[in-house]
Amino acid sequence: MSSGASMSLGKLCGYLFVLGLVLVSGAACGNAGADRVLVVETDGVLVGLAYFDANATREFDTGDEPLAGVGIALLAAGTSDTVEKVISAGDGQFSFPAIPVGSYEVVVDTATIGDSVIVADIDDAEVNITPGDSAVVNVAISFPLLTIGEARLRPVGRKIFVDGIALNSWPTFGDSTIHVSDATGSMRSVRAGPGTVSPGDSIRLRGTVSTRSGQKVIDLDRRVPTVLQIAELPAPAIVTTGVAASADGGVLDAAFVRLDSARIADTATVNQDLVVTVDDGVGQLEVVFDGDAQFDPGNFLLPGADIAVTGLLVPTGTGTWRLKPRSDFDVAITPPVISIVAARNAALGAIVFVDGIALNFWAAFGDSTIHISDNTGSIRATRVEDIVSVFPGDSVRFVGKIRVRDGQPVIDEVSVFSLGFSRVPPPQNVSTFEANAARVGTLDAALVSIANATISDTVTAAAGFHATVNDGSGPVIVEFDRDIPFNVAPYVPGARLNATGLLVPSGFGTWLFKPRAPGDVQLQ
Amino acid sequence: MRTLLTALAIGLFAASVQAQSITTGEVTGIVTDDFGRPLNGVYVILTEVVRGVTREAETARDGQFSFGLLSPGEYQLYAERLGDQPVRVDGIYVGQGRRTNVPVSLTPATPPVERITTVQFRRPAVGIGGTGVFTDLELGRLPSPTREAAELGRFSSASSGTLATEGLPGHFSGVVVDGMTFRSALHEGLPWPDLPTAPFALSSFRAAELLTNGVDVEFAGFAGASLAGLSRGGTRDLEVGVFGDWTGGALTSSKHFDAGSLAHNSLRGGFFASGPVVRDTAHFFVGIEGSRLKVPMPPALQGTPTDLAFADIAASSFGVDVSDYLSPRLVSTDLLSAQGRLDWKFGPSYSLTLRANIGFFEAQDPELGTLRIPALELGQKGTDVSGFAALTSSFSRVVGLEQRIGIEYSQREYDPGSIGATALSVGPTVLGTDPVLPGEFSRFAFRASETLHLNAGKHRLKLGGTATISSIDRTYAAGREGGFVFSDVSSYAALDGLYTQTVGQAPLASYMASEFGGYLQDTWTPIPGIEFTGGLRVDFELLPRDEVVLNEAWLDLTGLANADSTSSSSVIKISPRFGVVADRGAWQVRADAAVHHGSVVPATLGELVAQSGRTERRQGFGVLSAWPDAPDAVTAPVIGPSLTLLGPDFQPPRTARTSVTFTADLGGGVRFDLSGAYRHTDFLPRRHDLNLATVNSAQDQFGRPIYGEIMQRGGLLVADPESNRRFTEFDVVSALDPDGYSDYWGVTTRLERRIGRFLSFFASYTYSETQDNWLSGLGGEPGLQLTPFPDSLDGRDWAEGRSDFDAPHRFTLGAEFDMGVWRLAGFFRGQSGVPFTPGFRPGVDANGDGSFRNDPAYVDDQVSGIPNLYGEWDCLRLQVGQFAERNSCRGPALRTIDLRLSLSPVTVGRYPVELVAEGLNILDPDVADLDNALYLVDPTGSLTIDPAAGVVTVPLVANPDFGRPVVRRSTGRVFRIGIKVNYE
Repeated sequence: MSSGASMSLGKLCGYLFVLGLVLVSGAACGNAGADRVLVVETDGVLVGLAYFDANATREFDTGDEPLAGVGIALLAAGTSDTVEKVISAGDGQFSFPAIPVGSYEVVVDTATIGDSVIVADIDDAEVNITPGDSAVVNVAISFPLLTIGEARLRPVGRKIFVDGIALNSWPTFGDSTIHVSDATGSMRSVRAGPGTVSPGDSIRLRGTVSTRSGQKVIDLDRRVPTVLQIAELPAPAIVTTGVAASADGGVLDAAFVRLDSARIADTATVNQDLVVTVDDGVGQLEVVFDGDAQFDPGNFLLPGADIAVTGLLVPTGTGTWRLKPRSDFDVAITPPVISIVAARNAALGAIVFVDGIALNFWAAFGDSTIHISDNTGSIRATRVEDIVSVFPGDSVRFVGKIRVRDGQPVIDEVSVFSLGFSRVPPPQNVSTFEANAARVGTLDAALVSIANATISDTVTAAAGFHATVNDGSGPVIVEFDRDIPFNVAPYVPGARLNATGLLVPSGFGTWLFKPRAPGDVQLQ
Repeated sequence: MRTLLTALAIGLFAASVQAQSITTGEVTGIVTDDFGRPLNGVYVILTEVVRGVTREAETARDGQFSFGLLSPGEYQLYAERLGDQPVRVDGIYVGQGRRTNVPVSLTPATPPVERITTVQFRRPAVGIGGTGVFTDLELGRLPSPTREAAELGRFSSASSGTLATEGLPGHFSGVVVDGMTFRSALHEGLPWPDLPTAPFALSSFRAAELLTNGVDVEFAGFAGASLAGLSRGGTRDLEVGVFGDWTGGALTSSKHFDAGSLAHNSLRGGFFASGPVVRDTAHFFVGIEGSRLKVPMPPALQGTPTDLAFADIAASSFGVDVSDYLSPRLVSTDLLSAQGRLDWKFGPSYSLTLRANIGFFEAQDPELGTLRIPALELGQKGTDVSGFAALTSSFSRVVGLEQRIGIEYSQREYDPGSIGATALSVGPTVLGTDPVLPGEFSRFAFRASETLHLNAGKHRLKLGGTATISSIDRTYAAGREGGFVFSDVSSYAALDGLYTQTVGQAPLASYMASEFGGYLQDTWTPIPGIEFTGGLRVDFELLPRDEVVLNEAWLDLTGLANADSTSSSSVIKISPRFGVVADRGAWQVRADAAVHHGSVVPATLGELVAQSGRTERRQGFGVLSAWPDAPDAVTAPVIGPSLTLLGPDFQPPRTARTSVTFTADLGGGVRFDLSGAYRHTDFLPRRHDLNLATVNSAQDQFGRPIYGEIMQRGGLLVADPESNRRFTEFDVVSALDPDGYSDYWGVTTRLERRIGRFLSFFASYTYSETQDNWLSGLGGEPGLQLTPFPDSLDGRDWAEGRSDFDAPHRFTLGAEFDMGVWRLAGFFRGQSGVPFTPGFRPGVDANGDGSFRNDPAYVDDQVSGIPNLYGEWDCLRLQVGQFAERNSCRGPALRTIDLRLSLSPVTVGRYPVELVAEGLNILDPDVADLDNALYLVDPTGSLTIDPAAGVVTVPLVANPDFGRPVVRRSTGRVFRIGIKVNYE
């Protein structure tokens, strides 16, 4: 290597040494990484709207109004430390223009919104402020949305929202009362505005806590409930008459309840309402058939009938409650049907419900007497209501009073209800002797048949043609009712016949044998 | 007379300066006649004494000769020319990275020449190397507790046995063997690396140097020091050696604990053999060492009444027997290391070196280091493998080439014990599996380098490149085993306390890390004895950003993406180097300035990969459902996911260091060194919590900012986890920012003397100061690494202060008396105590940042009992009325003495038998973790909150046990006896 080249290289190296010293010195001075610190950059923006939520939807929608002067504060998440506070402007808008990004909680200074309202909702009260994006948080100021249980505890005069299931429709009782319930209880809302609310609708009520008949109600002041959705009607609470009468100490005020079975003790009409007093053995309860509800309770709404009622408990204001069914569908009346033998032994004047098989036509004998039987016996029903459609073999229910005719009990003043079709039971074969005494009375009004009875005498009486027959055991008079077109010419002494008929007391300790139609008698 | 003159001439002009290679040396010289005129045509032969390998050269017209790329060791030089009397120079020592100048003067002689002039090369004391070069004394004749290569660090007054050097942690330093870097798979959560050089037994090194400021551009990868070692190679003749020693029984004792009946027989043994494969051409070395060390240590629990009550409750209420924690513990370590090396010189210009090292170890109940809980039933395993091949080519006097390739595999596995970390705050009672365990770490690396050497007159150029491809697997997240803290024994009995645990998917981080570098260096010798070295190295480190799973939730919240929180997926590292040496034979002045970059710590990248939101932290504070099993999710619910991001322009630590060293040969075998060094390291990863509340919610009675709302239960103080987070969807979100720095300056003086064979000694003293703003140096739980004043304290960064590694005074002394039949060697090391910060007990989060044990105490002499501590702790008195400065107090100084007595009474045949007795840790200092809690939270008091003033008054009482030992770590005195047989 030449000397010149060596010198050039030497100079180069000299420069490199100097450069190296500079670099090393630079590296040795100061903290080069001091500014290499990762930070969560800058600030974020939070804007929002304060408004009065008039319908408790917690969204700014139709009917809601922006609120000015609402104090909005931003707290560090999980703490009560206020980071910044602003006041909403005239249009309800508020803004935090420069907030360090992070998690915050948006709160409202309640001192700025008064006592009558609350902070009903804050969208994303826990809000993350992120760089580059503006977080939007709306603040709903409104009345509290309460459960019914909470509403009942509110003092009178407080404005509230309540969500619940409607238990009746607006016109059910002819007034503007709607019962509502939720999981915490039931309550009446009064002075509801007319609207289409059906039982089972989930509705929202906005009103004022008030009292009626000593119980808390929501006075809607003609506001129409808002139907939220169609829901399922809650199952009624099963109650006794005693519990219902006291609404279980008030707990069941306005509640939807069901009385499974009680005996009707009395009925009365008060101010166009039918008030039925019922009792299941643990106390009396008044069931009110609202006069505005167009009830048709039917013919069994009678004392003594059993009744099952579903309805709403309404306070009387005197510490008791009445049960108000909403329609006929809420009521089921079950009469106290007894057997014929029981009816026969019932007290005179007692109203009895008897089910049996009709043994003859109404007016078959020219009167309104119908014989019925069941497997315990037979009885005559007299003065049966004018029901021409009863045929022998029909299954019927007779309602009437026990009286005595010709020494035998009858059901008098009978109302008839058809229960369907059946068959006439076969007559009992009796001897003429047994027929004459109705087998010691046990076959009174029964359908019986005699055989090989020989006519011994005949006579025409006012009631008809009488033939005395005897099968050898003793005589019995066969009465061919005048209202039945019998051909009595063949019935002469000595003639023998087989016959089916009803045993009717003569009033003298014997019974007449009364065929019901010409077909009941066959000559031999 | 001429011989004498020749010898003098050689001695006067002999010098050693920077050579070209970091693993080889160089011998240069000039052959002159009696009048100093250069002689050409002189035949020069250089012979390596140990192996007998020779190199030959012929002088040119300028009389100069040069042998480069020489294996370090002792050489013999022979010069002859027709008409001159030949000269043989003995005792030429070639050091790694050194150039030795050997001038030779020939005297005319009339043929036939009948004799050869033999002269002894005067070994220039100042030319051997810097203050970091280890002498034969340190390399093998002083007592050795572990026989691991890293142990060399303790002989340096600027370093330690864990290679924590000049104020930086041990894992910042590394091992370079034969020019090839080896990195073990470290658990950076532990305060010091465990067996970082497991495959390299101390005996496998024939030379070593602790390079704190390697100027050569080939040194790279460590922001700390490099332990540069040369492995042992073959020998000219067969040599075999065996050794073995034993300790146990009464040979171990301590004034701090009684090992009692604890069986602790420890055995060590080894075998090595070296010799020729092909004489003068190929040589081998094989060695194997094994040890089974059982080291008794003080009980994990000190047996205080609280400890005993705890043990009773554990047994009676929970059926857990912790009595073993009250007995001395036994650290058992089995270690096996082996090395094989083959050197083959083929042809005059090429030599090939093959080396393989392997190390296995398995430990039971290992000592985890300061501030870590001494647990029982822990298991630890490790495997290290290092393979290496180097081809050295000397094409001519001008051109040489070194090519190296290497592979390494390292694996560490830490298994937990059966009891999770459990502490009683007012005990203090601490036991169980430390929260930083367990973990599995492994790395595989392929390394290659090629360096071209050009000898251009006064310039020596070096040009080369390196490539490293690493595959790293880590299964680790701090706190997976969970940890309990109870206020006292009664709250423990009621299971009323604090529990924290990291849960979620297995935090597996598996990634590739690659690094490529190129370098250029020139060494310029304008005049003899003056040498400049300048170089530049540029490295590219590729970061495994693609391995990170993007956490979209955090991205949405903050705009920060964990997956690309580095601005680039690569880091460019520029490392200028500069050095100047003025060598006048009897003295030498060396000035160096260099920049070194470390690599990105696997713990950092591993955490980045693993902590991408897949792990969560759960915490229970109150009555817990179970112990020691983890409480259920009801009593310890999940707080939120943890996340880690890298700071902007993240890059690995960079160290700039300048040093000036004056070395003098004072004659009589005395060498004196005086050096001063300044080191500045920046880009240290500091942990910041991005998800801490943006502002403090209150302050305590001392003005300490409190984040969130703190809750007290007995002596525990915990922040409501819902209250102190910026984004409540997340728990701690760590930013590892490269804004940490460390400054060190130190002055070291060292004296060496060798009086014949009778006495060899060295003494070294270093005074230094280390300051940094880096709370992560000792590892540990992430919470420990967070500054307690994230918004600064009085406008300054509280973390800036005395470093955890600051040890102002360090003194080492090693000496050997050789009386022929017996030799006595001893080593003393003393250093300042460990600094610490007055603070609080576990379970006390004074500032509500969700982290425990990172809060300093406020020194308030109004608190009863505090003034009573002033007498013993002046650091408190000096800080009255302020928050304690970082590391403002210091534990007692540490001093150790090790001795070795060797007797060579007999020789059996050709086998010299040496009996060895070692006494280790003779002074038996009380090594302990000190109770740094200045206050205890008064369990009988309660928080007083003044909402208007925003002040939370914490009920505090002085801790009378401040500064007392909490966990003792003394290993006691150990005496070993052994035998050593060498066949040569």
